[in-house]
Amino acid sequence: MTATPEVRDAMLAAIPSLRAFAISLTYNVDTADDLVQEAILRAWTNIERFEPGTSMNAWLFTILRNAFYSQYRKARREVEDPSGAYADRLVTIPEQDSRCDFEDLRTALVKLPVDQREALILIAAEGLSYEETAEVCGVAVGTVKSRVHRARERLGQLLAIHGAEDLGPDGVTQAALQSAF
Amino acid sequence: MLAFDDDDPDAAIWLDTDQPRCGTLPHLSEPKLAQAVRDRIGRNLRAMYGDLLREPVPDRILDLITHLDRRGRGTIH
Repeated sequence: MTATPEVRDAMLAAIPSLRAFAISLTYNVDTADDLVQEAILRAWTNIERFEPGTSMNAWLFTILRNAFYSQYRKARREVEDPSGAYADRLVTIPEQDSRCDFEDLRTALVKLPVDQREALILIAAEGLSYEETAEVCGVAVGTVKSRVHRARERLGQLLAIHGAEDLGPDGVTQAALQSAF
Repeated sequence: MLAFDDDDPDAAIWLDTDQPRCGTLPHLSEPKLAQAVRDRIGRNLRAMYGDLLREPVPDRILDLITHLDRRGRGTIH
């Protein structure tokens, strides 16, 4: 079985998203690239299962996520604290003005349970619909909504203190927020 | 002049003109503050993810696809 040029091109186009999702799951570029490779291999050998007209990204995310969880569960059996091990080798993000914001956000994201983190990333960052995310994660739409809600609440709590300090260039908002605290 | 509950901080900010806080700035209620924090998290999340999306795809991944593609076409012909 082989992919048509159209399917191959769709796969190529999906790679940046697939990597971004993998990095968001693992927080390690090498592990993420291993996952992306494995997902591509699995997708290619099961290409007949891809339904034309559906989202290639969502299909590849599903495959990558399954690969991640089978490895994650294995790693969990082998290592006491896999998330700690991942956190030690965090991805470096290019320097920029909001670097501190990103640092805070990454630190907070790592503290989220992985099921909440993946739901939040797929909805809020990747821009999948709740239905697509439910499909990718193999759960009901309601479950996705509640995971995203809990993820936002938790991040809000973790970042609230910093949030009050600098909400951006809007001085009015900033001053009002300072008075609010 | 305080014809309302003294314990209500919102009311105090609006009406305690003897000691104005932040001049005439509107006071953000707690839900609005929470919303502002959530909006900011959303923006940063998208910006962070955007950085990841712009990262160059490693050669080993592109090579794998090229390899699979060639092998697939090889079996057809």
